[in-house]
Amino acid sequence: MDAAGIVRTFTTKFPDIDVKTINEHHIEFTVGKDIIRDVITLVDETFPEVIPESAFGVDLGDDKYQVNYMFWSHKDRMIIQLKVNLEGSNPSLPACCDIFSGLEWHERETHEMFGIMFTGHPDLRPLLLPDELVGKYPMRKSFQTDRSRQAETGLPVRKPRPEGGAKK
Amino acid sequence: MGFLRNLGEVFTILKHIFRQIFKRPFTSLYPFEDRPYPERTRGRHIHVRQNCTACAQCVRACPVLAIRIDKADKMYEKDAALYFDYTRCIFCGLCVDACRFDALYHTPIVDMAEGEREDLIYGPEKITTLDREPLEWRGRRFR
Amino acid sequence: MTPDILDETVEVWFGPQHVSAHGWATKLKLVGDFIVECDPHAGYFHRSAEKCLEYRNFRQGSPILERLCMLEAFLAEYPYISAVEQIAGLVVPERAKVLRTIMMEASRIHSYQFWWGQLSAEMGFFAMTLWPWVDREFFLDTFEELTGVRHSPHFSTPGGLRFDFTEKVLAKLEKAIQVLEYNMPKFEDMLMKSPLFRMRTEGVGQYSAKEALRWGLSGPNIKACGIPMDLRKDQPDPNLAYDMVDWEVPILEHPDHPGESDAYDRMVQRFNEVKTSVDIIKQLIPQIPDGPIIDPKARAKANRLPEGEAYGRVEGARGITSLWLKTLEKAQTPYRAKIRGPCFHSYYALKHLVPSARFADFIVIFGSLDPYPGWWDR
Repeated sequence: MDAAGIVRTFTTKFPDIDVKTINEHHIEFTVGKDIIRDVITLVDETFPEVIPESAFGVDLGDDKYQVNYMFWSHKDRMIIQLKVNLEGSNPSLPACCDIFSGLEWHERETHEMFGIMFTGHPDLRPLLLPDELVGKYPMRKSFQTDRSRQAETGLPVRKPRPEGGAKK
Repeated sequence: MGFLRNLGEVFTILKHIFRQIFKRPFTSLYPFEDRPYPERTRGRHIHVRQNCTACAQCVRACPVLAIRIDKADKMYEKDAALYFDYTRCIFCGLCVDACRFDALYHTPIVDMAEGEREDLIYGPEKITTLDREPLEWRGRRFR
Repeated sequence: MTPDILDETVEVWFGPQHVSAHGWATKLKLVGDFIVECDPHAGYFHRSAEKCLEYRNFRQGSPILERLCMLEAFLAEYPYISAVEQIAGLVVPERAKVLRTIMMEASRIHSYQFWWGQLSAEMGFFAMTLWPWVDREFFLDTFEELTGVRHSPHFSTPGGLRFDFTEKVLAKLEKAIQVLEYNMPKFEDMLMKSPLFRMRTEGVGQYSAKEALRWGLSGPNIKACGIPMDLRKDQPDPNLAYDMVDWEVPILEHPDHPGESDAYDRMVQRFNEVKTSVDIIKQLIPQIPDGPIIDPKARAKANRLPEGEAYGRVEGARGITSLWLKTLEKAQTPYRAKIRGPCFHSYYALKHLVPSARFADFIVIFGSLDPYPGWWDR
């Protein structure tokens, strides 16, 4: 199936998702969080050889988050990227790791790094973080890291978090 | 038949191992022998203060913040003192790439072990001089 | 075996102190000699590479990435470089493309050579551990001659390369390939034909292609099941030179269990991968064009990037390695970089693959997936 065919398949089933074709190997869908499970089920049914490539969160600032799901369909040579926009300080969306079990650890990692709740996930123990960082969500932009080494270089210290491109 | 084939294959393996016994060892007696290092070897740095212009590009290029610059400490007209922290340095070579005035180089000296942590922070005297010819004292012979 | 051993479960921690467990730990539940439950634990290697990348500019990022997997350093740094090049719109010179591809294939071979030794050591076959590592030295010498260091070379930079090939580098690379080709039949005798090795690996850790796709396995682990999933062929990268070469994706179809693979198949598959890589390098060496190795405007263009999102991918030695990069307007640092390590999935797959295996086979199953802790901990 080519890119246009895939877009048609998805938009006829779910009319209210936004589509962006990035190139002939990459399609991006922006999906609401209430239908994400249905869309992933459709991904599973449409493509015969598809692997869950990754799932990750992005902190967009002002309590806005985004969860991205990446799928790689080998037969169609297509990356399917599903974007879910979330809001709130403790956002939640339904877990999809029972459809593709390879997503289980990605969702676990996103949960501990961003504090995004995956409802229905079987195992949300912290995966990578040490005990003292659990619950602090270090990949959020509000998490301050230690920048004291900057001062030791003898150069003027930069702002701790560059906003809209760093300024020297 | 399976037994005989397995036996034959075990003998093939023994043949390879037997041949290996008569080969020269590949390893070297490290403190007494050494191998020549290629000319691009990224070892400890040397700072040529005559060429330095205190532009601090090396400090900005360093991904691990291993270099400290002291612009007040001047030996020539417009140079600056550099302090290299070799407990942090990852020898990526970005500082040498960033230097446009031929003031910073890598040397082939890679054995920098010291007894104290503080000795690994190379001050302006230590970073501008080579205390020994590269590889001079370490090996008796090259392979 | 007394009956009461079979009645109760025993909890065993495999790692982190175990010699074979270099940077990982797995909690196993045993009944007698059989594993009933496996709970892989990650995080012993976690260095927060993604957060570190947010504080470094686009030239400083690749030293962090190549430290995630030292064995495939030329491959590991490439997704980041590729993503930056896509956003900045950089075009790589022809010579840089070919040299990059050659070094990536050399890095792949070097990674598999290390893995033959590692798997043999984990199975207690120590002669075969050291012999591939001797051959690997020749590749490390090539890397040293080219870049100045044996590990973590930091070879590519956005827009081109940092080091050019010389006559000496080419001579050392040809020597390394010559030694490898001379010794390959010996390794095949020692590993694939050895009855002891076959007894340890045949039928161990067997999974079907369908399960492997669900878990997200990629690379040799899935090519051994007969699925030709290879990014070098599927998604030709304009900044790499795989289209200049005539080659086929190596796959394996075992006659007894088609569509499935066991530990032995994955070993054979990696031998085939090395042969393909040698073939690619041999075809590319006469085709190296003359010219510059870096776009002269690359340095200025990579200083500040426009707003954008890019997905850099490469077929690593262990599977699909990719990096998703998001930048804001006039960005000096990435806004978000997500690293996808192939071993994140193969380590996770242990949870489903290990139960009902014997305890002695656990390390064979683990080793046959070729995992590297840096990829899942990052």
